Amino acid sequence: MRLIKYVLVFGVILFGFAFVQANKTRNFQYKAPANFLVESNYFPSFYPTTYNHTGAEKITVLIPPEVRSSVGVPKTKTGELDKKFLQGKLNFNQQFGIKDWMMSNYSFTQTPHGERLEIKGSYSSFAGIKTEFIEHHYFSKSVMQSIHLFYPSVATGKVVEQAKLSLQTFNPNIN
Amino acid sequence: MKKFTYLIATIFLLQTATSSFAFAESTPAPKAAEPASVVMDGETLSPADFGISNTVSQARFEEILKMRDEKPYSSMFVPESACAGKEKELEAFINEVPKTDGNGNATSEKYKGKFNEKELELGDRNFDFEKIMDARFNAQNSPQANVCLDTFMNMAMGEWFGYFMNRSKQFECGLEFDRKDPKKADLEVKTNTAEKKDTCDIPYGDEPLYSYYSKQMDKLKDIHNAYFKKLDDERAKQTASTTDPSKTQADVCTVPGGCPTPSTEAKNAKAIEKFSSEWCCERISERFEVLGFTTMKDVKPNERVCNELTNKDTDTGYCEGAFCTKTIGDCLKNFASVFLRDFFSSLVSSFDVLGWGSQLMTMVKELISNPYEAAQNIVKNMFGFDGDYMGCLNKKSQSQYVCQMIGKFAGSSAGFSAGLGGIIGLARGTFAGVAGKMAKDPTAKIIKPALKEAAKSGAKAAAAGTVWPYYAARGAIKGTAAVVKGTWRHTPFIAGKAARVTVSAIPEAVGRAANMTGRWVGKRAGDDAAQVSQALQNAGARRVQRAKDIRAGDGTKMTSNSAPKANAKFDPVINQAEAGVKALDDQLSALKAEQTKLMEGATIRNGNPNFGTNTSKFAEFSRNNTKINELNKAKEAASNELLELRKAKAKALEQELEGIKATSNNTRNNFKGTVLGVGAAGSQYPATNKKSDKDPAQPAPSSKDNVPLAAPVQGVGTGDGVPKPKPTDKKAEPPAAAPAASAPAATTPPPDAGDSGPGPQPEM
Repeated sequence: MRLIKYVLVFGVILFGFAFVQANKTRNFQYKAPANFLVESNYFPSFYPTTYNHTGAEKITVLIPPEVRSSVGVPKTKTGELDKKFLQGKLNFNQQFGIKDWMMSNYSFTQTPHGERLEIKGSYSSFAGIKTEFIEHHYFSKSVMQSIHLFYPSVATGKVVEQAKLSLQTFNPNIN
Repeated sequence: MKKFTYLIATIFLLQTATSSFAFAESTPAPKAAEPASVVMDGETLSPADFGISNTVSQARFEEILKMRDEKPYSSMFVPESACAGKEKELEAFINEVPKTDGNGNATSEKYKGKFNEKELELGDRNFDFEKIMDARFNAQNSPQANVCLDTFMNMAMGEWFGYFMNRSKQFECGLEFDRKDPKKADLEVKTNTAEKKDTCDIPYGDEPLYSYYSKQMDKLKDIHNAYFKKLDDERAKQTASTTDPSKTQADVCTVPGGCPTPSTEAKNAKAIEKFSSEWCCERISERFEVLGFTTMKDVKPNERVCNELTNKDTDTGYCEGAFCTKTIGDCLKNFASVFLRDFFSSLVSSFDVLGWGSQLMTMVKELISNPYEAAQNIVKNMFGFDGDYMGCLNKKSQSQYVCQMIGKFAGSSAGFSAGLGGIIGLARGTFAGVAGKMAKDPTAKIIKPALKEAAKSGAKAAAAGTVWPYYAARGAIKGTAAVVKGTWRHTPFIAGKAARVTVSAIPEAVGRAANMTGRWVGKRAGDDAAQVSQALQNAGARRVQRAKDIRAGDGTKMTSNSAPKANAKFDPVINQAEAGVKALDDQLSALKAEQTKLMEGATIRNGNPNFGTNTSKFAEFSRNNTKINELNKAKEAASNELLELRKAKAKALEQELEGIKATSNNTRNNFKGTVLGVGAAGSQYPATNKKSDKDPAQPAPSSKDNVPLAAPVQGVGTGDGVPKPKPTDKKAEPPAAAPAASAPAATTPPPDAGDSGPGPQPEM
């Protein structure tokens, strides 16, 4: 009985610790454009912070939790994107049935917040709508922090432009 | 101890209650789609014309058609198809043939063409057409089985039509399939003399290539004609049955000069329609437990439950009860959080894992934007359940189902990630056959090391792992609730579970039960139940008689020919029994309403109504109470009887399936069969091109330079069906410029001879 008691106490303590960990505030800074609302999220360490446009266009900005990484920037010696990184993405798409995923462009840039990998492309959503994406991945020695923008291909105009520009306001705070 | 228990329970309950607030409001459910259709050659075609359920959306239908061009066989097995899940069953119709060496001689190795390999490779699969036809024209088949077999037969013939048209064109044989009568499906093989060149006169086996192809095409033609003759006969039979005097006026054709016979498309549409409702119920019933709708083994949903699960008209899109949050989107987010947690708390040590994880946001985006579609994908890809079920279920049931799966997943997987190697490993243990698939997937290979990393190091990873009590408890609490709920909900069926009797015994047992129930109801429930009693007794007497009939006949009769009759007998009895149950229900409702009325003004004492001095009210209330109890018992007995009847009917349906399997087990030895000789043609035409007669020393076909090898793909699919040219010093090469053969006008085979795609769609 005593053992059960200790186990339960231990469990509660660990649970509390985990809960605090899961709830702890994120370090990044991001200025969302007007008419974008942030979703409530009790577990920002485990679930991405999401900004949705309030209009009819399904424009979404997602900031996932940071990833602890020991591999650094996925860049070859010749400055190209490492094929394994791309292969990982393709494997994911295959696993989850994401169709027509295509990377149209990528670039590496040195920023004050660390080296940034930008990936642009498109895919077919589950509803069959062509969706564009822009990913910014920032790398430090041991952490990768990302921001993702998704918008339907048909969406154009100020809203999309503002959303794209807002990506520049993202500070991952990983250094 | 109690304090701790309360504390933990409180924390978990609080967490459980608040967890659904963690995420934003879900998106509204999409509107119902218009019926799908496409226009081909000026004709509007519905999904049923392709063996696809009419319930598919336009976008999905177009996607399937596109897939049909690229992967014809895969398109046949999409979840919406009548052939969904029947790959193995249909693969039994492909013969295993000996592989051939470069000279066309059989080797000890065997080859069996598959659907998912070389889908566009014409002539890769050696079909046993006779077996397909035997299976197709089995009287016990369900309409859906027939739709599937029709689709399959067309596809299989199409492959070989395409093959021969291609070959004839390639070797300038001038051989074409043509219709004898443009209004009929019957084909004949013609030689277009203008197209025929001497490139087709090269020796092939023991005869000229032209002669060989001509014979083979004749065989294919015979198969085609035999198949359509049987279809016509079947149709004629069905038309004749409409003149049955027992049919109602509305069923009988009254148009002077005769009514047009219903097209196969129309029949298919009808079958598919059935496939959409009854078929769905059957499919759900088959895997009711596996799908997690119940925890009781062998429990099947009754009609009402099935209707609740599938009826889209009354669907609100919201689910209630265990494992349910407001919508499917919330559940998916919970699912995502479990998955994301495992990834983001890990230490990534390779680029492919990094790339993999970076795509997680795409999934999250889809979960947010298209929850129902995402659910279908996830359920299919993660839990291994195809879209059949999801397509059948209405949105409310989809929510319930997905939430339940995810609840279980979260409850069982969390915690393991930190300690024992991640959700993949755990999923493998928990979802044995289901998520075992995941373990084999490349994803597992990627995420597993990451999860191991998580298990090894870092306070954060440990923290993530310790979230498990939350998930585990949540899963356990909800799991228990589900068990309780499931037990309660399916109580009437549990009693019926005990009755595992043979087909012949069921009707008798049920008959006796019905007789007894009828008498019992009549005796105990008084005049009100007299009608029900009579109905049950009548039904029981009929069933006892039927059981005697069955026993008097032989076993084969029961399993082969009498099943449809048995079905026909079951349906009215079931309807009658249902009417009986409904009558009891009505009486119960009326009595309960009466009780409620009586209780107006009464007080409650010790849980019972107190009518004070009004003894007549009390007496009436007590009488009604007794009646209610008796009716409840009668209803339970009648429900059991109904269950038995349904089981008996299900058994009869199983017999149908066994009939098909038994047919497909009748494998024929194909060692020396020609391409088509293993099937109907094989039995009608003895194989003349015996391999043993071949002379290895005979020179290779080289009457013309640059003549391609006649064999399709060496050692593949056709076995020795298409004999290979004899070895030669000079290797044959593709023709320099093969003249284009004229496309067969108004023929059944595909217009493009080189295209194995959709296959022929004969006019019916």
